[in-house]
Amino acid sequence: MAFNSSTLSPLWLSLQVASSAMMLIFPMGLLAAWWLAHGRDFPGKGVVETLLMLPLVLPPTVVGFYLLLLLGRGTALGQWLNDSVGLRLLFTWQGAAIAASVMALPLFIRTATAGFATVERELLEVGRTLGASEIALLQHVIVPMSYRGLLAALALAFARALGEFGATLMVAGSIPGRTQTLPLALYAAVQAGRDREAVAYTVLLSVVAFVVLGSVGLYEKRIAAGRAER
Amino acid sequence: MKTFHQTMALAACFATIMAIEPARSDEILVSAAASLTDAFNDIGKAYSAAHPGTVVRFNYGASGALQQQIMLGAPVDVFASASPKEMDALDAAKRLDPGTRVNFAGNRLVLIVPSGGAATHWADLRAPSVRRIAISNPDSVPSGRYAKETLTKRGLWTAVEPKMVLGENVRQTLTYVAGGNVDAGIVFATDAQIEKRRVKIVDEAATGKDHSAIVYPVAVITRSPNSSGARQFVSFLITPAAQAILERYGFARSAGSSAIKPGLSVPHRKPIVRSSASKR
Repeated sequence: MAFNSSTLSPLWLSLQVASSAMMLIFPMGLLAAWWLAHGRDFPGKGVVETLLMLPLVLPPTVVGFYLLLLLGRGTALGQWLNDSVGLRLLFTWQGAAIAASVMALPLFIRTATAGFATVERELLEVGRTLGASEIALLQHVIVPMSYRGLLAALALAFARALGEFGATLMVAGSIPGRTQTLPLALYAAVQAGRDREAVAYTVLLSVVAFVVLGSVGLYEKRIAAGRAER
Repeated sequence: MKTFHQTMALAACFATIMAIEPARSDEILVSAAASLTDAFNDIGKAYSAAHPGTVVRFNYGASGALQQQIMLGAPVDVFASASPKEMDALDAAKRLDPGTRVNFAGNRLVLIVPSGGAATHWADLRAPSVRRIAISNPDSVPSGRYAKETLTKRGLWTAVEPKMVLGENVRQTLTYVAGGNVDAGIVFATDAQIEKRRVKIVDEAATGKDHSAIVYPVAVITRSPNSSGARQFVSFLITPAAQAILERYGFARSAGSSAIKPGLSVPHRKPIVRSSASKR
């Protein structure tokens, strides 16, 4: 098949973009997920939750257009970011990483929230009354109980980021070697009638998706098994 | 806990990957009309051979889409368009490096069918047997705009409009025809030549009569990250070596001269380009 250095460059770029997206998502997503699973209820929590989940159902082009307005010179905010802050993200791989982050964040939060929900509040309170510090609680209760869920969240978000197309196309264009990630390279190959290349990308993307989903399935089974033991 | 540490190690690897910066100063990023794909790939190789250590990257697409990217601030060094309209718009928006704009090639518009297709000339497009016709999107793709001009001039547009399948760039339109998924299509002569085995040229539009002359302008973009490399690449396009490559792919040398604005026309042998645009 048509694997060589130029057809593989979208793969490395995709890994770079998706990994960077994970670095952006991880801290934000952890906070949001913990807050959703264990934070206090307040009026409007539902609205915030809905806003966080919105990219899950919004067409990617809509998200892309929002980002275009935010990051481009078309709006006052975008102009300020570009000219005063010096943030030039449009049509760069960093811009692609931001698009992928926004699109993958809800999936991470959702899965991680489920993971954190397995940490029972009573356990934490018992720990506190026994004099455990918050760090000790994190180390001995929260992480051991939820890390499988968090890994599943990371894996799913990673796969989503790797497959991002619509928002990335709008924010980062499809510049070979710079912003052309695997899904964009696939589209370009089909458009140009380079069928062998298209097949290669399709196989690559399918294999990655299968591996990620398969390993998430394994984690979930282990979580279920862990629950049954208790 | 072991898995947790492994995860952290993995995260460290990600951080390293992220730190790799792909854009380099000895790189020239050229946004070019899709119809230039094959010729520019060769020209890029010839340029790199003449300037060792310099990598030319190409971003091919519909000229209109590339123009929009540049308007929004894409970090492009050189723009080569399949029609002057996109270049004029960038010029008006002060996105062109003054004095660098030059016309470097010309083209013709042709009617093609999949090999074995029935249509033999423009008027056949009306026939019920021709059910779907591929042209490029006239809003953003020059070849589509020239196609619409031609069909309108020939009084066919309203009759054939319902049959239209729109490609997002000329190579997608070509792919529709080559795959046999439409009954006819309109592309540049140079595109048809790329798919010689799967498409057949059956008719040609008359330049000046059916549509305005097809001229390819190129220019350096303001705020180009590599402006000296960009200028060198633009100069390279009008050298005999680059012109020979363009000619091999069927492009005309700098287009039908009558259509080129005085002062913008390019002497083939002069290395750097003078044009009226510099004296704004």
